[in-house]
Amino acid sequence: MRERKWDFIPFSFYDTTGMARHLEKRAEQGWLVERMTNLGWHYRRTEPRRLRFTVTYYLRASAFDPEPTEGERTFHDFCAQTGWKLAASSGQVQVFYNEDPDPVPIHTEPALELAQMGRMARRALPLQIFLLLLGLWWGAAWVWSLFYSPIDLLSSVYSLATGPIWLVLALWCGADLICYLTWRRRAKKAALLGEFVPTRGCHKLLLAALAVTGLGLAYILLADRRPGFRLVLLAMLALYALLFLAVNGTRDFLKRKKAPRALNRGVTLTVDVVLAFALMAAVTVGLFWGLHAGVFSGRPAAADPPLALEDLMGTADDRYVTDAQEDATVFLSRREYRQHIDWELARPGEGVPSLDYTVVDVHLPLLYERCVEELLRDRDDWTAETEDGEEVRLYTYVAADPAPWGAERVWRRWRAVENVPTGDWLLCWPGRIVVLEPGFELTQAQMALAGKKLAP
Amino acid sequence: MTTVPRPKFQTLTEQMYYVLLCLKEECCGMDIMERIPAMTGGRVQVGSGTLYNLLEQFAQAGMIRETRAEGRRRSYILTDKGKETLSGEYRRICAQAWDYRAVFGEEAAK
Repeated sequence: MRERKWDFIPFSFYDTTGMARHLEKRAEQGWLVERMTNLGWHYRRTEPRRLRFTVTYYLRASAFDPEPTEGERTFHDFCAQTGWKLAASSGQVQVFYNEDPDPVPIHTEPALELAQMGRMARRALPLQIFLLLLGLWWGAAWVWSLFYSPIDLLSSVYSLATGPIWLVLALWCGADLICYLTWRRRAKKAALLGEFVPTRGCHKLLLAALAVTGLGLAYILLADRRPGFRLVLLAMLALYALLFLAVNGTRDFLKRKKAPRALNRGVTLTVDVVLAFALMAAVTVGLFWGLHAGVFSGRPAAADPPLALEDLMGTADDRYVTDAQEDATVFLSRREYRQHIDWELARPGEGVPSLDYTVVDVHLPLLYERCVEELLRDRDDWTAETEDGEEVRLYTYVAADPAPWGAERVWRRWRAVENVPTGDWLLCWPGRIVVLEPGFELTQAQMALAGKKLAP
Repeated sequence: MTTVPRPKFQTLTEQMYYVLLCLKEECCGMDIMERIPAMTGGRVQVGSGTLYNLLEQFAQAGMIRETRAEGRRRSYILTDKGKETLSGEYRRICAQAWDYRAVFGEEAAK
């Protein structure tokens, strides 16, 4: 039979009622909390008992104190006088239990408890507000991209997975902040009448946020096909874990050695900063080395190109090189092909055609039109200023006859200022969109061949 | 409607009142926790955390002063400022009682 266990319930700092009820439930199950760390609450087995718990804050305590200060001990003595025994503490958090089923509460003056919570909030809320703004910023950017550039967003495993993490972070921070402020408003009113208001936090939402983060990371690890990047992500996660353990280990070691609070804080902070910089530098150097040595690649290579210059020109030239890259998620895939001759290999005065094209396969019909719109807007930000100082677009798409391509819809890119067509095309078939950018004018026969080769 | 915050300790809560009352004579926190229920027949009880905070705040406000410390056992006594605050509160309570009698009469107050 196990004698020890731990759990991790990420209670909000103000949810002292929630914490106490949880600990009471554990005590009834025969588990008494004995230690609180950043990784959770640790329990030891006891007789199942109905105990009353109170979670409170001793604001002058610090996680870097080698042992409770005189003031903290005096506070514990006061509590012991009314039967409240210290079960565990971590920094400012103090957990007491009482065997009396109806003890005198530790706090009997609601206004004082409210003031204490207010001081605690002034420490905790700036970080939460910062995280809320960060989550809102990146979450909003993700939602904006979902509507206006779904191809960029949904073809990348990393972009797809990180958006929900930011959104759920913003949701939790916002909900938790609202819960706290609502409780505070009600508690202030009740305190005027000498009454307490139980707290109610959002730890279930935070658990959901953590689950989304875990799933997001797992999805990136499983689905990211960029060579070497899975290793990079794993290395970064390992380094974060190492940093966390090193910082906590340093602090706990110095506490065991009875180092004074200021010394412990200074050394731990120094270890934290130095190690964080060293580890980030190591990751950055490793990443650059990997990219340079070809161990990593920004994007995975795509399968053989469906269309090649040889198909269109009828002749082969072994100086041609083809870059083929692919990004894909369950929602859509984007394959980019580029066939060209290095300028160093081209003969002076030789006109060498090139062929660039992008094939987007949309697996979710709902997204199809959004993807077409994104590609039609692709060069909207390529602008120039006229002599009158007016800003004009350089390119625009004009609908063209799809028949020569055997496609459903076709647009041709035009130079808007000169009003002349370019050789670039946007071709649509059900579920597939292709941006074709040959460096030369295609004949009707070449269009038919390209359409046949590029059709889904 | 806006509420103007009251100056600290301008009026005392029941618990603050009895803590100060106990400190007419020198005593420590533990004694106060025992004296208040005894003095009020168990009607008023002060929680340990509340008492700890009140003693600290009263000392900071100069309403009580520390007289001696034996280990962690610290004793306090009321200062002149504390006495003044306490008597002000007493007068306020008396005024309330007087007003009650004025409205309901002597018989109803018994």
